[in-house]
Amino acid sequence: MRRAALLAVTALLAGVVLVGCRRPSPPPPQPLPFDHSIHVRVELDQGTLQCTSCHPGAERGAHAGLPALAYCLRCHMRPQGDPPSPREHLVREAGARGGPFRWIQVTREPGHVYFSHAAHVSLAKLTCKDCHGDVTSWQAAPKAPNQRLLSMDRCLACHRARGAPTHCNTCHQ
Amino acid sequence: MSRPRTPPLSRRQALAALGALGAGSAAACRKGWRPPEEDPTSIALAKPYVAGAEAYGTREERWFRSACGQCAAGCGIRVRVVEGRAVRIEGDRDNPLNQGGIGPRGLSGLQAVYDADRLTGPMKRIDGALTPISWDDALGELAASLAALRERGEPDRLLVWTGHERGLMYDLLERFSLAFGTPNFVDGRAGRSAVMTQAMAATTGVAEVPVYGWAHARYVLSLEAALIEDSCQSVYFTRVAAQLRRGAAERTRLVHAGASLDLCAYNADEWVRIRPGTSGALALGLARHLMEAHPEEATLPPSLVDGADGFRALVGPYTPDRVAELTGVEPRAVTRIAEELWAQRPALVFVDERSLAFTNGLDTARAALALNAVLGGFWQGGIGNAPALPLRDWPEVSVDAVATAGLARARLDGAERFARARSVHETLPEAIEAAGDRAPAIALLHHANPAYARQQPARWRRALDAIDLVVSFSPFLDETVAEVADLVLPDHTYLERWEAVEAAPALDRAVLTVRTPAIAPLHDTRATGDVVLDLARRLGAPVADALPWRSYRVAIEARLEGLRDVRRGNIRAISRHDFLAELLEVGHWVDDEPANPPVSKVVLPDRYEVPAWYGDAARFPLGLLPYRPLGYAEGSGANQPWLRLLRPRPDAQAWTFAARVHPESAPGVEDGEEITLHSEWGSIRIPVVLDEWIEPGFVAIPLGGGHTASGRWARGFGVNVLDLVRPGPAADTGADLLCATRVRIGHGGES
Amino acid sequence: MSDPKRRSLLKAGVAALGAAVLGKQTEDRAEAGHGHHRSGPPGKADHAHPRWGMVIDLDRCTLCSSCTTACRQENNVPSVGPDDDHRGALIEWIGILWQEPEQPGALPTGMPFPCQHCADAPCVKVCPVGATFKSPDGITMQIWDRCIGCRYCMVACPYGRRSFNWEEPEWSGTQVQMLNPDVATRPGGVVEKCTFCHHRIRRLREDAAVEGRELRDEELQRLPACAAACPAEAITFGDLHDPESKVATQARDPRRFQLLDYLGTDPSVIYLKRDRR
Repeated sequence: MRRAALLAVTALLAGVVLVGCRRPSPPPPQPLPFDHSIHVRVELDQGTLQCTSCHPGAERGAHAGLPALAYCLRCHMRPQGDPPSPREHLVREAGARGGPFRWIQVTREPGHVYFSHAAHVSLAKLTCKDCHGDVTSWQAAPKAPNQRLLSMDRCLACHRARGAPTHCNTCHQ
Repeated sequence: MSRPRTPPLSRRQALAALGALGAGSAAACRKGWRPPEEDPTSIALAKPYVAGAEAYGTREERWFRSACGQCAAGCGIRVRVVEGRAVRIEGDRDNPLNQGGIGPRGLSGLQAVYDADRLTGPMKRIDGALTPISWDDALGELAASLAALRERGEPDRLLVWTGHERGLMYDLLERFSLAFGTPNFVDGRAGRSAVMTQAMAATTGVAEVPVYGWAHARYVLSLEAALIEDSCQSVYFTRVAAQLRRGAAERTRLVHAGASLDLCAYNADEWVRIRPGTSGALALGLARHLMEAHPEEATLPPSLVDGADGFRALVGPYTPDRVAELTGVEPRAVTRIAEELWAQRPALVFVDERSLAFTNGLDTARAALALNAVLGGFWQGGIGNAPALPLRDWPEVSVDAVATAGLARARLDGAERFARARSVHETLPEAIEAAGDRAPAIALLHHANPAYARQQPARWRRALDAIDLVVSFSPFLDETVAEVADLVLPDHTYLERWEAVEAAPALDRAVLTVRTPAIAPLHDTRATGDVVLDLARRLGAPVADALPWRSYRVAIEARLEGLRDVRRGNIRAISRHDFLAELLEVGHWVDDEPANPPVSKVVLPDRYEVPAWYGDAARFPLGLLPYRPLGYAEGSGANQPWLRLLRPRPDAQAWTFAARVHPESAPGVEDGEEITLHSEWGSIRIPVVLDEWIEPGFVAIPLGGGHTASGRWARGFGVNVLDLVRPGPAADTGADLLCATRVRIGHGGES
Repeated sequence: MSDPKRRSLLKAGVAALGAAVLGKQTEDRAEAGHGHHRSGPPGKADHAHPRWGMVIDLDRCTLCSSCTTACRQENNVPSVGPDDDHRGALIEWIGILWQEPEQPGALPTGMPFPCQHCADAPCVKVCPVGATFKSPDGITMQIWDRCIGCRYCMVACPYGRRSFNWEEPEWSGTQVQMLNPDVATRPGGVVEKCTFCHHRIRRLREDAAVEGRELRDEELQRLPACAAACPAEAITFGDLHDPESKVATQARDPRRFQLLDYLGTDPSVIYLKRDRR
């Protein structure tokens, strides 16, 4: 009963909100227009740059993580690419200043949600693509949060299908 | 501070509904990109930018080993830093002192570092108001004023005061004072119990608090010691107490003689109630009984002991009946405890700062040490000198003519008048006012807040006002900064700076823990070590020659060389570079063998006096017992609300500040009533707790209340009991004298 | 302790009633599988279905209060000022409980006092929205964002180990920097409580799983923030179902007792009696 009431209120609010503002949200002001597709083609001594090269927590931690500025500068101390990106110098300038140079995490789980990359990547053996889509083809940073990653129904559907635990405290706090 | 209001239930429900709407549609109707900091769902996730975050990936965490700086113990800690922010402090399991344990003070360190009322940069008082100033201007002005003192041939008019408990800052400031030429270097370190070190100097010749062989003891007698509650080693003692009770197959009995139900009484197997300040008499009575009952064994051979005859004469009158008369302990209990001590040797008798806060502190300490001698403790590993840390000395200071002349002048505090005092605080206010044109012109206050934390603080404020330039290095807006200081050069907090911290004497071997900065400085502050070196450079030779290092870290490393030189301990790397690298990684150096200076001879006392109380006994019938409550440490923690929530007494409440008195001693007073307490030196109003567990005739009040500054959590909470306490030092030791004031109770309405 | 048979009957009744009233809400709880977390005869170590428990040895504890402060640090427990505290708005997950002495004239006994994580938790039974529930490993959990702030659970809890956020907690200025990012802050209007540092267990479990190994008892013993900080090592954590674990071994000590055991709540926090000799 309570759930029904809540749903009604929610639906009402949703209607009001959606009708009230149609203007699309502006994209987050990232320090640079970041191109994933170029980066995954970069050849290193040991092969191409992997997702986990820059998001090392994906295999062993809760958070995939974004690299620190110093990590970017390992390559970008010198101009890269041919021709180099016209805005690449911003990385070096931020490095010289010591910051700030902050990537904005566009999709963030709410505070009461716990999500572990390690559990999904190392244990459940999901690939990055399974949840994030084909990031390797992205030429720009995402403009809006990825709804597929924020839907509890999707989480639960997959957990049920794979027999993963579904108690509240698996994912909530 | 938050105030309760009606529970925002309706708002909660609305929020829940909005949450169900999905973050996406909510985002779609925002007018602009909302930075994650504004995400309301969890503040823990969303934090404003902080310096140092650039070096981290998102949600990247690193752990730093460091040394706690929240009290005088010097425990090893590990600091969890996420994205450049310190979010957790825990005890370092590998550190031999605390072995992973950590006290409430140490855990509250984050609240000191991230205190919202910290000073954010240097300030100068202009027209009565503290005004921001640049570091360069501030240091330039101070250096010019210091140089002018030396040019006028008055270097002794610089007063340098440090209350820094553990680390080499003490040595650095002492060296600066020496090279500058002032004899007025004040040792304000509360954790180095002045009375105990003097008692040890008189007894064994080594001026450091003793270490005890807890592990060997089968019987431990505490003479009014505070053990866990108020000690620079409460974490260590907590561990010890647990070990005594359950560490070995055979339980070690802990007997505590004390005046109230504090944590030591609570943790004892037996609590013997005793009149405050008289436990020395109990010790003499126990010694007398043992020497009489076991004349063959409890001998004091001249090869080991000096002054045995004088001591025999001293204890003669302390029959069980006489002891009972002085202490309130039953005569039968005296003989019983004596026999238990004897039967369950090795036995340990110990005192600490709470036992020694009376006029007879030195007598009490020496009586306790003498009883240990009678029990043989000095020669059976029961009690000994603190181990020495083999640091390399900095090169000798060459003192110029100006400094020589300055150093030849008498110390302002008159420490020479006290047999073994290095420096004295409680004579200073009067001495400053009486010194006329030789009064200090500049005072450097390092880890010192005399405008709050000293007996009769109002008189300290007056005395400091008479000094032209009062400089404080406090990172916090304490009373001295707010009300007195002319120049404020805020130090980093302990998680932001370097230090080498020798552990408080506790183990039989020396331990040094390295404090590495875990986080980048939060504000425009500077490590005082670096500031002193900068000042020295600006002053030029000869001061600059005495302090030649380019940074405080380099100065520390020069002394750590000594640990490498001895080729012992847990780090054996040969090269300087490897040694330091390993030391930083391991976090501490520990000697691999006991290095206590041996106790060759024990000098026994020949005098004892019961404590004196000041004030007319007819008008002021009660003795005042100010005490350092759990979490108080050196009193700088008032800005840390977690420490206000500790409740170590049965009827104590969080955020309550009350006097404790036995119902018999407060006739007509209701429990919880606000009373006025008067002494000859002041009055305070305070709620009272009628407490059956305290010795009648005394009023116990915690220190730490009544701040007029020190930030939002400190200001306006409780009262400062020091407003009641008689000014002036203990007559024989020159130590601060907390427990020597008589008071009386007036009712709330009385002024 | 009361008759276990009667209790399980009672419990089944309550579960059935709950299912009827709350419908789908109880599904997850049913899936969570009641029954593992009884403290009956310990079986084989099975870390997939442990019963997390804690032994607090009062003969080691000195009431130094490190545990209470460590908890505040780890779990982002908001501090309230004196005014709020005196009006009963103190938020506390683990505090010090003082118990009156049994004989007159004897000393009172103090003890660290976290949520007792009852196997048969009265608070869980009264929550109308399923915000608080028993996790399959025996923790009385609470999902902050599901709580509607009715405070029935606070009334039901015989130990008074739940606190209400009377208002939106505030972290002034720089204080927000020190919050533990692993623990969500709670909004105003919700009840909060001890979670046995569930986030630390979860993290340890994941680390162990990634390394392809079982949880080790040594790494659990001092896992919760209170146990980690304790200088006396008076607090031991672990799996009560694993008879070899330190916590289960200690729980068999003859000095053991549970608070208000006659209520039949079967707490997962087991105390060992203080000994004075």
